[in-house]
Amino acid sequence: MKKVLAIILALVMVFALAACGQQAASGGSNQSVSQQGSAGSPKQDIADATAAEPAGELKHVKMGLSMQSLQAAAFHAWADYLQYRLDYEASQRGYEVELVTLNADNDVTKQATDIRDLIAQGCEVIFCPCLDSQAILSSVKEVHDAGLIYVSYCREVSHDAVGDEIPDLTVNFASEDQAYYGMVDLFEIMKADGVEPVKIIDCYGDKTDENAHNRERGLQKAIKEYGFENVPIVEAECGHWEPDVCGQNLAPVLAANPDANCMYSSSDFLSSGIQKAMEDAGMWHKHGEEGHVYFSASDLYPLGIQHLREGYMDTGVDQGCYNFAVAAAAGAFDLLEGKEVEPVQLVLGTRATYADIEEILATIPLWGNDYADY
Amino acid sequence: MSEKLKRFGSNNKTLLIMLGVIAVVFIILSLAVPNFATVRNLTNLLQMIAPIAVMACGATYVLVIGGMDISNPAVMAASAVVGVYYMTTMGGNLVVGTFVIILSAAFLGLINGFAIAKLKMVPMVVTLSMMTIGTGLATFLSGVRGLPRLPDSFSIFFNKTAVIIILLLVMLVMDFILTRTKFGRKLYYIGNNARTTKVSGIDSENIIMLTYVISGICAGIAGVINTASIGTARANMGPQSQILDIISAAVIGGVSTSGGSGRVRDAVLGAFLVCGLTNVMNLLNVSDYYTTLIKGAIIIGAMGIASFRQQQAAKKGV
Repeated sequence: MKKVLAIILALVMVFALAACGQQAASGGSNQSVSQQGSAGSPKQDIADATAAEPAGELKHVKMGLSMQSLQAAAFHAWADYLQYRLDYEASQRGYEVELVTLNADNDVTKQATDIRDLIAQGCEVIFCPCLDSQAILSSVKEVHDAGLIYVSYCREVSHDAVGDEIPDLTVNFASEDQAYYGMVDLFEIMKADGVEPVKIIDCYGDKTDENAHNRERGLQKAIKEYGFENVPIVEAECGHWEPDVCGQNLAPVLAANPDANCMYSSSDFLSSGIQKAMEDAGMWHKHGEEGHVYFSASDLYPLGIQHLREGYMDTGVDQGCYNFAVAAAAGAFDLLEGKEVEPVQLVLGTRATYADIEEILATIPLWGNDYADY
Repeated sequence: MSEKLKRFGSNNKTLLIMLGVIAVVFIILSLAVPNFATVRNLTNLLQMIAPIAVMACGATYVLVIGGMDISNPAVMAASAVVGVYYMTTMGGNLVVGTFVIILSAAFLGLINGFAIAKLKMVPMVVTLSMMTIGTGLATFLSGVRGLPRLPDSFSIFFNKTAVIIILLLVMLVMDFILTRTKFGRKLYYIGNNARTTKVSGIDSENIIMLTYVISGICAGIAGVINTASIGTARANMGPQSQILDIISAAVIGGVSTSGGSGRVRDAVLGAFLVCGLTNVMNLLNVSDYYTTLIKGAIIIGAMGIASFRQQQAAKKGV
């Protein structure tokens, strides 16, 4: 009886895996470039890729994506859009592409193992938003040792990287510019309203994340440019991009600084916590209402877009997820074909304000709108 | 001869069933999954399994005495961070640093053991607290920017071959101690009936304490393996969910959660099944949405069978 049960279990395991596998299968220079707006539309690209007539025999190519986690909507967008855009590029260049996606689930050692699995599977290009910019360097070297292409996708590896540890291509946020342009637009709106910042609240996303530090630099740059260096900045730490921690830390900051009339958040992913703290402090008002706190945030997550539309948030700069995929997919195929690519490409998404968000939504496919459930 | 074989078969039922299942699965996967039976993939697989399997060895000792240690992944990460901090920030020697990793894990295990054996605290509560302490310590020492990388020589020394040898050594030594020594027999006695053991004059308090130290040492060895894998150490090396893999590896290997039975050798084979699942699903390109569901279902199913077997054995008075 025991042996029979053990054998049944083994067979169930094998058949289940096989079934799922079949289902899934069918389915140098430091110069950077900044782009504005969206470089394409996911829907249009899917249509183009589907409609493209195969010219002769397609070359099959296998690529791998090692995600750091799939816990945030943006991470799903990175993965989905990369698949769409790779399909599009493949259809234009006479390839048939298979993308294998693995999820490290925030485990830095699992990401290293996942990349080894992708190498073992025969992936020719490996895309990776790394969990840890230093720990990933061993993996980059392993990819190069296997003669494969490494694309640092939506993240940068450590600047300590040397030789084989340097990715063949890096496509990342222009995160400093995201904060900078968001604050520039905010200060312009305040100027038009005849309001000067009294105190600036800074919701710092993550003290261990390079993108959060870059955004901090962008914030400081805008403050300096507008001559607000003497305006007190009050910081609320948000753990590791944790909305609840952000809200908990923001509450006492708001209580101690009820006269603050300007705020920046490293990401509107944190906005659920921020909204709760602001509501509790009686400071959550729409633009034009008395007591409104002028508010800018980066990324334009679905909640951020909603807050822009409602007027609680004044400005924001989109993460430009689709543009990442556009640059990464084109670069990967170029590298595969032996062409030269710009090794570091920083992508800036769309700038939006409460006043033009409806117009932008009608014309530009913001990622946050694709992943909204409203 | 046939009598000997029969006796071997009846004494090693779990081992034979596990080996049979692994062999069947291996053959089917080699035929069905491209790239499964390649040297690169199989060594990857062993490298991936090694830290979990080594921690499952420690967990087996703790489970055999009827205890529970859920702090293993956090202790592994904390000790690795302490060791790497010593080797990089403090400029320490790599060999000494390796021992710092293992000794700091042993120290955290000693705290667990002292609280459980001497202060009579509940194992689950103590090791849960240690999990928080370990994560906190690792985060604190990692600092804002994370620890620097170790020289390549560390990863070169603890390469795939070395990791496989370490796993084999840990398994053989710990299995030998558990099944062939007085100390091992005492662990089974304690697991079967702690009170009687005390009456029999066995120093159960010190043995329980030592068991948690051994569990800590195993976490430290896993920390060395993981550190070599990524060339540095991080607080998020040991996610809390990893404890499910460790405990389920032991239980699938026939280790009883109520104490008194189980072998290290079988727990390592359990780790092969549990961790092998992840590798196979990666190779089959199973979507991540399904991977965790399938893995959870299979682990529950396998643990259900293990529990059923234990109940049957208890009924028979084995």
